[in-house]
Amino acid sequence: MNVLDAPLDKPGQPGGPGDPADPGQPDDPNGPAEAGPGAVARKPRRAWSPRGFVAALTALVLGGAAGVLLYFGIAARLERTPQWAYDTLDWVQTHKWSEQSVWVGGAIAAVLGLWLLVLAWTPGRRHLLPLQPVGPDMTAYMTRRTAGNLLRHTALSSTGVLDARVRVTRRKAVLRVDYHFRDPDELHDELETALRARADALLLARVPRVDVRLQPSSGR
Amino acid sequence: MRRIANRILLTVVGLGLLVGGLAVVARSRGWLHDQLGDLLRTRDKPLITPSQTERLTDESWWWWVAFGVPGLLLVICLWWFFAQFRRRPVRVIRVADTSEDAGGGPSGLGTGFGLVGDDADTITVSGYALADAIADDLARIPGVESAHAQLVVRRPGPKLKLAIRTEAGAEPRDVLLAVQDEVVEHGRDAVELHRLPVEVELRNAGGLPRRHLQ
Repeated sequence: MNVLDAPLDKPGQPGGPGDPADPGQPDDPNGPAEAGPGAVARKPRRAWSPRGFVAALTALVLGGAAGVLLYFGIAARLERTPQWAYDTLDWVQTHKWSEQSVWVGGAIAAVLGLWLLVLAWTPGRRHLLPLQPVGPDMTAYMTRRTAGNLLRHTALSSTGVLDARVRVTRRKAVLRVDYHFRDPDELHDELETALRARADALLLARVPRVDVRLQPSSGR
Repeated sequence: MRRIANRILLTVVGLGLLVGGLAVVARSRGWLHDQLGDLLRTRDKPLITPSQTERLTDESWWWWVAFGVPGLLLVICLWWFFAQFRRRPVRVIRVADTSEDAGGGPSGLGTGFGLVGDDADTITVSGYALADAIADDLARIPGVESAHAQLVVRRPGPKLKLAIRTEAGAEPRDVLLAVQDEVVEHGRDAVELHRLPVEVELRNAGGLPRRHLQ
C-alpha cells in the first residue's frame, strides 16, 4: 500500500497541518511573500557541510600517530623497542632547535592548523545557493550550476544571441554572451532587464547582481 | 550533531597545530627572545636532551601518561573516524496508537517515530517505504526528471531530505510549491506527523529547454 494514498479526511489538529488557523500554511500558493508569518520570519541560511571527509582524515592521522606512540610506549616497557624507535629518538636528541627542518616543520604544522580552523569556521558547500522557503518547515537550495543554466536559457531566448557562458556566485552572475546582427546597446539593455527579472524569479535568498558582457561573434 | 561535533573537534585540533607550530617556529627562530628569556635561549640545544629523557622516565607518573594519553587519543580518534560513516535513516514510523490510553506522541494522537515493538494496537510504516512513496510522488510533478527522498533521524522528529533533478525548462518556484503542497503535506498527513522538516536540493538537467530546441 502506498502510504501517501492514505485518506486525508482527518480533522485538523490544533496547530497541525490541517488546522485552518495555522499561520505557517500558505493560503495562496503564489510564493514566499504569501507563505505566512512563520515562513517570512525565517531567514534562509547557507548550507553547512558536515566536513565528514576532513574529519575522517584528521581522525585517521591523529589516531595513527597516537597508535604509533602507544606501540612505542608498550614496546619500550617490554624492552622490545624496535630499531626505528631508537633511530627516531636519536634524531630528536642530535638535532637542534635552530635547524631549518625544525622551523619548517613548525611552519607546516601552523599552516595545517590554520587550514583546519578555516574549514571548521566556514560553511562549505559553496555550490549550493539558499532559496527562499515556500513553506514553514522547508529549507531549499539550488546548485550554482542550476542557477547558471536557468539564466543561460533566458539569455539564449533573446534574438541575436548565439551562445552564453555563465558563472554564478552568491553575489554576482556574470554572463558572457556571443551575439550577431544586433545593436549591442539595445541587446545589452534587453538582456539585463530579462536576466534581472529571471534572477528575481529564481527564489534565491540573495539575488545576485547580473553582469552582462557582450562579445560579437567572430563570423559577423 | 555530527556537523557540530566535527567542527568543534576540527577547531581543537586546528588550534593545537597552529599554537604548537608557531611555538616551534618562535623557539627555532629566536622570536620573542626578550619576553620569553631562558626558554628561547636554548635554540642551540637539541630538541630533547638525554638528561631530559632520563628525568622524564624516572618519574613515577611518566608511564601512566605515556600509555594513557595516546590510548585515550586513539579511542577518541577511532570513535570520531567511525562516526563519519554512521547513517541514521528512519527505519520505522509509528503512525497511530489505537489503544485507549494513546496520546503520548507529539501530535497528541500517539504519533511519533522510532523503533516500536510488536504491539497489536500500533500501526507502523517503514521509513524506507515512506521515502520511496514520496520519491514516486515527486517524480510525478511536472518538470521533475528524477528525485530521491530519504528520512533521517533528527531531534525532535524525522527530517525529510529531497534531492530533485528538474527538467531544463522547469521553474524552481513551481516545483517547490508542488513539493510543499502536494507531496510533503500529503506524506506528513499520511503518517500523522505534526511536523516534517524538509531539506530540498534542486538541480536541473543540463542542455536547453524544449522551447529552444523546437
